[in-house]
Amino acid sequence: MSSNTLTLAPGHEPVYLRILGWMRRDLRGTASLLVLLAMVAAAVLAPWIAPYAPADQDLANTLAPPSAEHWLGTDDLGRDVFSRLVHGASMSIYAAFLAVGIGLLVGVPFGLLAGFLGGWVDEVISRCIDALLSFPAIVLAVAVTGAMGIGLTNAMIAVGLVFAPQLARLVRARTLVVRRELYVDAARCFGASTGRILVRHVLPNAIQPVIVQATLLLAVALLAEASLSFLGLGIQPPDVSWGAMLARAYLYMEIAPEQMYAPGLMIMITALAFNALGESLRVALDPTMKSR
Amino acid sequence: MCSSKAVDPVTARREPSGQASAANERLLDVQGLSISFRNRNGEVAITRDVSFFVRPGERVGVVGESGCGKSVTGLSILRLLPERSTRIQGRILFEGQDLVTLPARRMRQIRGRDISMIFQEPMTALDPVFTVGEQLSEALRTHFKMSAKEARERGIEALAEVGIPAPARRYDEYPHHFSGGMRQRVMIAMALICRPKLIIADEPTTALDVTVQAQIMDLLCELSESTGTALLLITHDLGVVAESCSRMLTMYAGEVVEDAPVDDVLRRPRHPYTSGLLRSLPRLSVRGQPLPSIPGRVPAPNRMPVGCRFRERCPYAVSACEQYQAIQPAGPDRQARCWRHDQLELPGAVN
Repeated sequence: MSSNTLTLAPGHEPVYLRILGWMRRDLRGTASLLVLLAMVAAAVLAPWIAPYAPADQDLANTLAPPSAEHWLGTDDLGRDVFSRLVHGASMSIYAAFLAVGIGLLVGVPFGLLAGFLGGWVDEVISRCIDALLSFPAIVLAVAVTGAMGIGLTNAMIAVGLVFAPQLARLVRARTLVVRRELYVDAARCFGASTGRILVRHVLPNAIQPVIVQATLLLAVALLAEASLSFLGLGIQPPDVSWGAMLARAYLYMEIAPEQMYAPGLMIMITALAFNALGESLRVALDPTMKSR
Repeated sequence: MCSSKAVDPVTARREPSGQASAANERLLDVQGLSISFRNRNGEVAITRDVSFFVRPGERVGVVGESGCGKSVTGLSILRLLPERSTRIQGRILFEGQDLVTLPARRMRQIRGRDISMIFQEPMTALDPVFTVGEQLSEALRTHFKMSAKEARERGIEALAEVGIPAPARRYDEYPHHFSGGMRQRVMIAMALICRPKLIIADEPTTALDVTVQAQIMDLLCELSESTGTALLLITHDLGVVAESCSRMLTMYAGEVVEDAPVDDVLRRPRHPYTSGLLRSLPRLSVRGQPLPSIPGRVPAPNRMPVGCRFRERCPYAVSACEQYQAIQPAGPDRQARCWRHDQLELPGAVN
């Protein structure tokens, strides 16, 4: 907290100064944001960054160790690991955001309604949540993918539906607390409609733990993508994702264990960055933790 | 304020259409209001046959012990009681329309614009995730079409009006930047920003420091005076009512037991309960004597005695008090729910 932020009231400094101020105060958040931006940049610029196409094979050179020609070596079909890693970023990030997006889109409204309306609505939604949570997540995902067809998008929708009840339950619990707050009554007595109260007052106050949970789930989604791709339900060749790379490398673990490091490390770094960003968001979104 | 504007949407509708508003015109007229709550064991009657009225610009105090139905009555006017478990009988006429049966849409238009409310707990009545200014302008823009810039100007004016220093800066701060007294000022600013005709203040100073209490009450009275807003003040504090209201309504066990001009009731209350309340006010002049108190406590809603509900605690009770007590005229502009009101010479707070 620097001295000049103390003298300025929020809302009076230019936006770029506020962002700069935040970056100086929260190094961890800044670092994780930069890592994630780099990932996104890599995903977008993949064709220009990667030295080879992801499916190009060098059959004379399979499972090769890192060299000047192949910076991270080649896989069992002679494909350049670095190129595949760069190309895989887009699919992995897409998969993670899709799953969490679906989870939020389905889970948050149901949680909000259950918590706010209570009564039989809550009863019905809560029992559905219980029923969904009683399935092992992977079995549920496999069943949904089975019903909707194999493919990365369907697999991630399935993962999103696995996330939805967790998020709904979280939102419901917070909503139960928030709806009894006096400011909800106060908003009503200043003429706000129920819909407006839900969106303007209950949702923003109930959403904080959800944002943190969502960033954690982004990391889980990355791993779920890997699992489902490993089982053959997710991404289909010739497309590539980190999870698919890891799954394939696993088969050659005894011959070329270094194959797993690169995709594994990427998944880990990304998951860590998501978590760190989630924590920073939680702090940044809580007005009582803002400095004056 | 805003005199340069040709037509001000907020104050324009307050211009009296016909200046024929007689002194006995009723802004709020509650008639035979009985409220009961349903729960698992059946229905519990909270208030019975509550009738009173508030004239335009008038300040009326509602007093009584905890559990007498004061707050419930206040909340029922804005229809803030849980609809599913509440049964309301009687009428709440506001400018001639019955709020009990008004469609939800119309009720929403009235809330905040014509009637607003100030709560007891300023610490929790403001939403922590929005700035004070955002909440002020929201209250305004719910009811009036106006640009964000204009709403901001008015919000800042409203903060200045309630005596908040550096209002332009404070406008952009969050509720946790404000102390309790300052938050209650913000609540008053919010309640007044649409220039309502009636403000219901439910123990607005209970949660505040004594010194701040006086400031807030002075502010509330001052603003009610200058804007012509009627005030329904629900409180435990008879002193506050004596200083700031013109009429006092005493409630006991869900009934109005006395309704009288403050000056008259302080001198000579007509109901033994009002007299008991007035006598239990601590006085600096009388030293070394135990404070008078009313023995016993308010009966539970499901165990109301028949006849006069105050009978068991009343030092003047006789066997005839076992009859149902109707509220009856007891002098000019006043009523009491006691058949002995003109036999008894009850002590008040002043002589």
